[in-house]
Amino acid sequence: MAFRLVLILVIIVSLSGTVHARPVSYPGGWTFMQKSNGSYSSIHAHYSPTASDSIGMYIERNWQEDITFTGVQYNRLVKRWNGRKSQANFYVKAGVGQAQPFGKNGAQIAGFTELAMDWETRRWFTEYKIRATDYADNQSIHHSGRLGIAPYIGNYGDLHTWLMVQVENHPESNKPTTTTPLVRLFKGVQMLELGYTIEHEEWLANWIVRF
Amino acid sequence: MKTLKIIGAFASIIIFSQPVYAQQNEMNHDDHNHSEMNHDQMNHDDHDHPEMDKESTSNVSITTGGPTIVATVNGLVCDFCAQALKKVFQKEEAVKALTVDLDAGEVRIFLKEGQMLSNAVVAKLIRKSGYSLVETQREGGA
Repeated sequence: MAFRLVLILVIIVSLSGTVHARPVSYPGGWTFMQKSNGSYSSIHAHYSPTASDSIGMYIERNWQEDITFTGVQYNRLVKRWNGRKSQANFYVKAGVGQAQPFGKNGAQIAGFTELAMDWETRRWFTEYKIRATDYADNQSIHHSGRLGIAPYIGNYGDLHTWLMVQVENHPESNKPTTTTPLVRLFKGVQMLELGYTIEHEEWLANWIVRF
Repeated sequence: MKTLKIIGAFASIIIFSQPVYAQQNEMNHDDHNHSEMNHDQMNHDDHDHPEMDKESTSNVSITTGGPTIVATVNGLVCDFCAQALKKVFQKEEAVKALTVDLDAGEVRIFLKEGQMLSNAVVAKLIRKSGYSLVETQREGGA
């Protein structure tokens, strides 16, 4: 029962218009993002010419669809709301490139687009995103949301810790909704996330570093 | 296939652990006692204090009366925010050092002697970093 309540809370908060991704850095900044879970592994390296834009390469090995995507990704911070003790962001992301179905001949033009929103304070964190992909013969739309809490508040340079729950929905999957409790560790320019997707019994490991 | 995915997941842990370990080795102040030391008489030439930048530069204004701008900023919620401000401000010729206090939502900008930054420039640089200026206070003749 308690688990269901938490799940409902996560979905409500997520769908209320908040999501997190931080795909844009400071002007002149480079970012390297590595993500891996039971569905896919990806690498995204980008450069931000301004605090509102970034462009870079994106490579994804999709384990579920058995496809490798390689392309260029552009991220745009459409709007940021800076509060006294909070921040909210609305991002649009798009990528175009080629998808190579594993074991088949011939790459095909592929792409994706994503809307992402987040809202966070130093104690609370929420995010929601919706992503549409067209990888060769595989088209899909999936949603994900997160709710997080910081058990303690650290200042700049401290090790920051977040406890989070991520809920994802892949409508075409045989297990459409998955839940991933995770820990986010954040220090300086580096961020590490470790989690475990209950339904798929798969580990999640994400790493982001900025230069 | 599953083994490959697990390896992929843990690869990042291994990669991540190296820079963290390196940072820990740079400053080992936890394993010795400073209670009997006079900080002013210590020789700091032969070691670095990369993580003590905030504290050391905060004392610059106190000890030298150097020009300092204290900017109250909206949107400061994480270290990435602080890093963005540091990167943008440190490109300015007039800026000697900068510290960020996430608790207070404040940025302290230490200026070089004889240099100045107008409020308009401070607001522009904060906006360029992705944040918004609430107000500024000036100390030490800034």
